[in-house]
Amino acid sequence: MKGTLKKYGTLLGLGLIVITFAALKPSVFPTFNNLQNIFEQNSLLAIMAIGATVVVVIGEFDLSIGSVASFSGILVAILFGKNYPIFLVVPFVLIASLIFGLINGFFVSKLNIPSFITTLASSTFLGGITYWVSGGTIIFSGIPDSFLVWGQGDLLGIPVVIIVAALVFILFLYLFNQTMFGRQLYAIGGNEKAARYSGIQVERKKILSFGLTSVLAALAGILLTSKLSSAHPTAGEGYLLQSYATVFLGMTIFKQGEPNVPGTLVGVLIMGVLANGLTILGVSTYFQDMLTGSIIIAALIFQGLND
Amino acid sequence: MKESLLTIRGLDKSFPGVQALKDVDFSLESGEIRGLIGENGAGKSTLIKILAGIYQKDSGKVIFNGEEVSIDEPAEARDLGLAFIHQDVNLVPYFNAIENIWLGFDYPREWGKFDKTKMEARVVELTDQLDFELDLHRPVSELSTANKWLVAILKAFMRDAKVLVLDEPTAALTDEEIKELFTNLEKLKSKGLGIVYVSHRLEEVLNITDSITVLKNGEKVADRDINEVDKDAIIKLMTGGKGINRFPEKQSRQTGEKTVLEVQNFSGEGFQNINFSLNEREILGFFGLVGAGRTELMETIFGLRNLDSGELYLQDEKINIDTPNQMIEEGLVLIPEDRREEGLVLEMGVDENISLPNLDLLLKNRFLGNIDKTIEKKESQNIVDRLEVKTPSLKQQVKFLSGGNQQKVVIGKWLFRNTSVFIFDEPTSGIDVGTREEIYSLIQELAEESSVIIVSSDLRELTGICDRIAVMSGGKVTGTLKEREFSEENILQLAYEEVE
Repeated sequence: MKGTLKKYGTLLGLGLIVITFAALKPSVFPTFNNLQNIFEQNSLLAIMAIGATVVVVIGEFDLSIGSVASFSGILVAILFGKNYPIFLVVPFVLIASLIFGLINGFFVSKLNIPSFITTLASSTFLGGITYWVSGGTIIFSGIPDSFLVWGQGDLLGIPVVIIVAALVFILFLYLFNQTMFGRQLYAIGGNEKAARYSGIQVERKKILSFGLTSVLAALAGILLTSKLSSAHPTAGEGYLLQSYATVFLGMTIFKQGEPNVPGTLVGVLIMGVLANGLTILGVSTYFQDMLTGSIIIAALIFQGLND
Repeated sequence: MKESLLTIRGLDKSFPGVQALKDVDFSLESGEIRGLIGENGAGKSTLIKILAGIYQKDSGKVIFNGEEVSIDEPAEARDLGLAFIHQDVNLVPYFNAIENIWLGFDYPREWGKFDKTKMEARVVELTDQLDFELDLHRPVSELSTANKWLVAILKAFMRDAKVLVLDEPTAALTDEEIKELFTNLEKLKSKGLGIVYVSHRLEEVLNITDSITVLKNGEKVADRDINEVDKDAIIKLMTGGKGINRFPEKQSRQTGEKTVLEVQNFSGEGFQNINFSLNEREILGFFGLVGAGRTELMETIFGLRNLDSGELYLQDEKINIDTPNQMIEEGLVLIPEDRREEGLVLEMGVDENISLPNLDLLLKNRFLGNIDKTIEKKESQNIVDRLEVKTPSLKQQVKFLSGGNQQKVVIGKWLFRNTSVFIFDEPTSGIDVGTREEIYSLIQELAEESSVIIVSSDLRELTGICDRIAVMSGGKVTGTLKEREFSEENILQLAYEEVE
C-alpha cells in the first residue's frame, strides 16, 4: 500500500488537481476543447522535457536547452528570410543543434568538465550568437505559410504539435524501455564505473545523449517559431527551468528516483493543468508561479519522506 | 623493566566466521618505534582499529600510562592521546598548514573573528617543540607528501598525542621524502613519544624501528629487538615455517600446452616491464601486497587504463588494447574487485545486471537495437539457477541481495558469452565460506574450457586453486612459482622483494 502510494502519489496528485478544477469550474475546465488546449499548449514543453530527461538519465545536466530552442527558432526564421526551402532549412537547423549538443557531450565526457559548467558556458555562447544573427529583435518577415502548419495547423482534427509531441513521446518511450541504448544510458546513470567495466562505451553514449537532448530542444524551438509566426531571440529561455521541474516531478513516479519518460509527461501535465486551471480561476500569474514552485517541492519532499 | 606506555594483554576479537585476533599481547614504551608486521589479514588493521575505537574488543586489556582504559569510540582514543595517521592523509587541499591544523578545534577569537596571530603562534610553538621544518603559509596541496604527513602529525599534537600510529606512511613517498620523514620520526622519538609503525616494506622497518611485533593469522608470533633480526628472519617469523593450510584442497588437474594469452614487456601506471603467459585451461594466480600493481595490470589488460608500452597476444593474435568493449569481444573479461562500485548497478534488477554486458547478444533487430526480453529473461534465469543466486525474483534490485549473492551476479554477467580468458580480481573478498566454495568450484569448472587469472591476497585460496602463481612487488613480477614450489616462504620472499 505504502509502496503503491509512493509509486503513484504524484499521479494521484495530478488526479486531485484535475478533480478540483473540474469541481470549481465545471462548465469550462473539463471540456474537450479545454483539454485539447492544455495538450496543445504544453506540447513544446513536453518535447523539450523529454530531451532533458535523456541527460538526467545519465546523471548529467544540459542548461543550454533554452538557448538551443531560441537559436533554432531564430535560425529557421532567418533562413526562411533568405528564401531557403523548408525541406532544407529544418534539417539543417536540427543538424546544427545536434552538432552543438555533441560538442557539449564531448566537453563533458572526454574533457571531464562538469556538465553544469559546460552547458552554462555553451548556453551563454549560443545566446550571444543568437543575439548577433538576429540583431536582438523579433523576426516576423519571410516565414512561409506552409511552415506555420506545424505550429498552428491540424491533422484529422488534432493539432500538429500534439501529434509531434506524441511521436517524440512514443519514440523515447521505446528507446528507454526496449533498446540496448536506453538500457545502457540507465546503467551509466546508475553506476558509471560499473557500466564501463561492463564494456559500455560510456563516453560515446554520453556524447550521443547530449546530441539527442539538443535536437529535441531545437525541434521545440522550430515549432515555437511556427506557432508564433515569429522568432524571438530569447523565446526558449522560459522552457529551461520548466523542463527540469517536470523531469524532477517525473522522477517521483513509476521508476522510483529515476528519470523516466512517462513520469516526465505526467510532470508536464501537472504544470500544464495548473497553469490552465489557475488562469481559468482568474488567479494572478505571480501566485501561479508560487503555487507551482510549492507543488514541485511538496512532491519531492513526499518522495523523500517515503524513502 | 621500564614502565610501558601502552600495553595490550590477551586481546581477542572475532567477526562472524573469523577469529581476527587471538590472545594478542603488545607493548610500546615511550621513545620507542615499534613495527607491527604481518601479511594481509594477519590482524594488524584489526588491532589498530580496536585501539582507535572503531572496533570493540571481545576481551583483553588495554593499559595506557599504567591505567586500564576502555576505548569505545574514536573520540576517546583521541582524548587519551592516541593519534592515528593513515595512508591517505585527510587535509583540506587549499587550506594552509595552520588552517588545517586548527580545523575542528575551537579557534581563538577576538571580537568574533578568529585570531590568526594566536593560531599561528600555537602552531609555531608545536613545530618548535617537535623541531619540524615546514612552510606553514602555503596551501597544503603545494606541499610534498612527506610534509603533509607532518601537518597531520602536528594536528595530532594539538591534542597532546603520546602514541602515534602510522599506517604505511611511506607508500606514496619518494626516497628523499622517506629520509626526511624518518629524520622527523627520530625527533619525535627523542621527545618520548611512542610510535607504532605499520608497513609492508621490511627494509624500512629494519631501518627505522627499534623493535617489532609479528602477527600471523590473528596471533602474535614474536616480539623481537630489531638488532636480532634481518629480512629473511622476519619473513620466517611471518610464515611460521609451516605449510599453508590450503583452501580449497588442491585437486590435480591437467592444463593444456597451447598459450592463450601472452603479455610482453607491459608497462603502465603502477607496473613496469611485465611478462607472463597463460596456457589453455590454466589457472594462474597473482599474489602481491597492497600496492604491488596487480589490479592496475589487469585493468590495463582489460582496456580500462592506458598502456604505455608492451604487447598482448590472444590466441597468437596481436591485440591493440583499446576499450573493455573490444576486449570482451575478443573473449577476455575482467570480474572486478569492488562489486558495489565496479561490478553492479545497484538500482537495477538481477536480470538487467546480468544482461548488461551482453545486450549485443540479446537483440531482436540489430538496426532497431531492441532487446528481446523473453530471451533476456530466460538466459538470466539460467544463470541465476546455475549459480544458485538466492533472490526472490529476477527483477529484485541487486542492492537488496547479500554480498555473496551480489558476487554471484557479478560473475554471472560474464557466463553468457564465449570467453577464453577470465580475470578475477579478489573474487572472494568479504564473502562467507559457503559461497567461497561455490565460487572456487565455479572457477575450476570454467577452467575446464577457458583459462583463468586470479588476483588475490589470500594465499590459502591461491595455493588451493592455482596451477602457477606469479608474485608481484613494486610493480614488477618478481617470480613465478610452479605448484611444487608453492610455499608461504617462497611466495612471501618474492612479495617482499625490494624493487628498484
